[in-house]
Amino acid sequence: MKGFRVLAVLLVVALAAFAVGLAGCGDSTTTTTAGATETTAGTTETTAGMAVPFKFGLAGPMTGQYATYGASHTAGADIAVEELSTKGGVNGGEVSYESGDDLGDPKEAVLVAQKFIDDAEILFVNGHMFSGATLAAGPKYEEIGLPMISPSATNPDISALGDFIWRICMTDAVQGEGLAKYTLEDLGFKKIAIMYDDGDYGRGLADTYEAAFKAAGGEVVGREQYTAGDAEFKAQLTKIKQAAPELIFLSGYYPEGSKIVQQAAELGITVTWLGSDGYASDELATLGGAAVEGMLVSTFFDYSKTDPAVVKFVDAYHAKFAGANPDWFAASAYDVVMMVATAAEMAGSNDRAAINETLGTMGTYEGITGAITFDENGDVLKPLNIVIVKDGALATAPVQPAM
Amino acid sequence: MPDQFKTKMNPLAAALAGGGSTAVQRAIIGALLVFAVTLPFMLQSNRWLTLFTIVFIYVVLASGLNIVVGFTGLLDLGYVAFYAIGGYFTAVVMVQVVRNKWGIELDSVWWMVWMNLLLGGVVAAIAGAILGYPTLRLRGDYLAIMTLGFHEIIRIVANNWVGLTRGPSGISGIPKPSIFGFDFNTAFRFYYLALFMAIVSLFVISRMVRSRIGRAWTAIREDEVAAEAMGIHTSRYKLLAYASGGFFAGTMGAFLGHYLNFIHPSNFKLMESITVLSLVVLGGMGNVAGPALGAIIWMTLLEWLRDFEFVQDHPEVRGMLMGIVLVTLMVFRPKGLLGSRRVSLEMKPGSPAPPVPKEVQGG
Amino acid sequence: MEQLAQQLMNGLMLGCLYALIAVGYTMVYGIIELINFAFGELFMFGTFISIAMMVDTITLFGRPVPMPGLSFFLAVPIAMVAVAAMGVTIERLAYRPLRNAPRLAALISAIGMSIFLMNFSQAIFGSKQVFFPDVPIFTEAGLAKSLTIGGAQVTYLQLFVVFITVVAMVALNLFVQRTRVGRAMRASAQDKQTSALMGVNVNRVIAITFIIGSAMGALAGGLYGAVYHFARPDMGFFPGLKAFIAAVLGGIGNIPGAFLGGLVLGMIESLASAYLPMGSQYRDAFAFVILILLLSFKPSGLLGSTVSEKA
Repeated sequence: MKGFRVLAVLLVVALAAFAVGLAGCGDSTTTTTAGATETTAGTTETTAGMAVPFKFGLAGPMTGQYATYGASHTAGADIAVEELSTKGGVNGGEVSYESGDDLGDPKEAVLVAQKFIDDAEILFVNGHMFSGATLAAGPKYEEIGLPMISPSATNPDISALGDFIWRICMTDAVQGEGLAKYTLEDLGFKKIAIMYDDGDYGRGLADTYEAAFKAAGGEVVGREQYTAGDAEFKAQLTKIKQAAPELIFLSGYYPEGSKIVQQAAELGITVTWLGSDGYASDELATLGGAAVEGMLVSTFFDYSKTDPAVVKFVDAYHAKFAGANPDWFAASAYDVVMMVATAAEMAGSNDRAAINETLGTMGTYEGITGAITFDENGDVLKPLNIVIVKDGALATAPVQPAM
Repeated sequence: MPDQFKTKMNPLAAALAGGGSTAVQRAIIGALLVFAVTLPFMLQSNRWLTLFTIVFIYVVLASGLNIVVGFTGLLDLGYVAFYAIGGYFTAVVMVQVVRNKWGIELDSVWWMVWMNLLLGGVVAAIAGAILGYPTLRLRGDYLAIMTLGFHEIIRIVANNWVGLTRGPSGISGIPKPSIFGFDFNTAFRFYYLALFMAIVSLFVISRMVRSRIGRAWTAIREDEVAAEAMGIHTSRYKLLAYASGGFFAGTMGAFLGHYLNFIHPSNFKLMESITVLSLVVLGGMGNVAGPALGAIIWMTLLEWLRDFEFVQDHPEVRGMLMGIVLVTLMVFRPKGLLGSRRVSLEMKPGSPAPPVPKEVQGG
Repeated sequence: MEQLAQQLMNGLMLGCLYALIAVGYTMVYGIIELINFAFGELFMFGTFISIAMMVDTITLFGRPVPMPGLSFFLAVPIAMVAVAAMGVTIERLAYRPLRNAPRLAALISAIGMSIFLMNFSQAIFGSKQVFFPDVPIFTEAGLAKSLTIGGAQVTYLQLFVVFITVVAMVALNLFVQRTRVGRAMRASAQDKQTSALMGVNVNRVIAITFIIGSAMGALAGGLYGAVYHFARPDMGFFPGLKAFIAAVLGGIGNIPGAFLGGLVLGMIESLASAYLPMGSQYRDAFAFVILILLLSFKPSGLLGSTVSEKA
């Protein structure tokens, strides 16, 4: 009796696994890259219907602790897709994307990567957002030749991943040095404290900032760490308060930022706050309330700029998301799609290899997050902007870094 | 060991073997093996081969945890700590020490990868015994919280001891396995490597739990006091359970490192421990095939759900469905899909250990 | 000295929040001996529903919905009622069928419920953080009103939390120790079968426990949200875990124990973070080390156990 039951269960499982396998086969061709290159040859002429679709993979944490970043990422990509679609697609191809939830987890990122790689229609990957996920998934893309453009993975190791791996954010080193110089020279503060997120980005940036600040003659009187997802920061802040810094540099992301500054206010800490680009979101201003007024934040995307490209994006975003202001995750996701679309049009074909090659040779792309010029490692240099929290929103700060 | 002891334990062991005819079981195992070996030829999809490679990692993890939770009855919420130890062991040795410190080309020491798979397991096993020691007196949820604490401590150390583990940057550049110039560098080859490791692990575990050690574990699970009275050295066997479970996790951690070429603290979040525990219970505790089945079904379902457009537009639906699946399965099959009818991890006071003959329930 | 006073105050305030969460947690825990992973999610819904009641419009399933905009002191009780209803429904669907099943099955069912609820709240409220509105009597010009006690800054709201926590702890303890239902709860926690034979309706008692425990969770959620000004789908996981730890530390099922456990945990975290070398890096690790040491010396928790006898 029991044997029979076990047999039945196992058979069901085997059949289920097989069915899944077939489903997997159905949506993917095995001759991935070969198929893609063959088909593109004849489609550069814009004969409608024949055109190769402009489809990409959108990878990021869509659920779980970091879902908020994935949501912004998706929103930015949505705007880009709409804009390109109204223009009639890219090289005549219909614009669309597949979304892959990597939860910010390296193992999941590999699964997402393999799914995108197997889908011959996917021309490039917009993501992954986190360095851990990028470092795990990157080698897979490199191996198969699927270009991947990360909007936000700042780990220096990523530079070494290969020719198909790009990013449009700066490495921590560049931003950290820039902000240290800004603090010391433009703002004129000599005695500061640092509070940072224990992740890759927060710690890496805090390290380079601290090193550059000390090298330039500044004094770092406090250095405290927190963990993403924390809500209580008073123990660290009390320590910092004791050291009486003139400015506190925050290196991390906005969900914690508003709480840190609020709790500092409750403890009676009155200093100037400078946040890294991870804090550049309206969420910082709306959640921080009165406490964050006047906080300075570094960003590559200032939505209050009057640059027509920025205005166009911000207007489209307002229309689609009930007046909400886009953050830099959204702007970066938008930039990635628009930049690759430009590259594909320059290359004249919707093809993985052609796009990758054009990305390297296209020169400077004027994005809404600044001018993007790739170096030989696929990294970029961009000018820093500083915004200030004013009346519950972000505005261009009066003091900008001297270039 | 006196004969008397053996005869007392034998009915337990027989029940553990799952009753049923061994011929049928063998036939099923054979059929599954053939299926697993031929699957890559039928699938022709790197995506699903990658998935199954990861599934096999979880098969071994769940089976290893099953030794601790399912057979010995110790609620371990921190099992992934040993997975982390194995992963970081090989990453630190290969990248931080051999390559960066000694300047040795990793290709020239390809054999170290294979050695590290075992050593990673051994290190994790030792850690298992050490960390298990202070928990010997504890039961139930106190044990759960201790193990959970060990997990968090190890994860926090991995994230903050930057000099050793590079902290949140993770360690990249861990070499892919290769043997005499044959590189494991495709999804296809990794699938077989992982399958091989899973089969060996399952074989070893099934041998172990049917040996005298396994019977001692089951005796501890069923009634620790009685087991002690019967002359079983419970502390020693509990530590052995932690060490054995730790070994398989450590091996898999090392394998994960060589598979991803990268180790990062976020591979070892608390949620991973909870997931692996769910796989064990989902498939059926105290049954060698159960956790393996749990891992296969769970991970395949998760990956399959990615393909639906609705899920892509509403990513949270995947989590909602998986939650419903877990609750539903537990409500309708509380002992897991392949629940061994002998198992009841009773920690309630006064509830009699069920001396139920195997014919009584179900069937 | 000033720093020590402030750090002690920080620890006390954090500990009170943990204690408030743990008190609700331990009630359910004491009676069904289940590591209730879904408790953190009920807590999270408590925060979200409080917010929903306090604002004029809220975005649900991506659409703006008009809301009553009630005062904090009305919103939280409404959230408590709603979450109590959720809790009792969850008990009916996911836990009651598993009453006589292996304990781990119930644990996994709770994990499944937790995963479901967390993702469900993301479906309803979105993945962005939602602002928890200021409570007018505790704030001034958008900033929390605070005062100085013995050199340490503390906000009015935090003092309110302390007050509520103590009241909740005392009231629940009296309820469990002195009332008929409370006696039935203790009896059911000891031995469900015998209690049933003695005429206790065990299912009803457990349902009542879930109602009270979930309402306490929502109360804690509402106050937590007010203190930290946010709600987010994943916000319940760590507080739920901390509540579990505090409950175990204090002695499973013991209400004053949970209160004490929460305070101790908050103190440990705050002081470890402040005074140990690399404290802010290794805070949680230190907290766990101390926890492990405490459990090694007192394996059944700080206050032993009076409601259930486990270890």
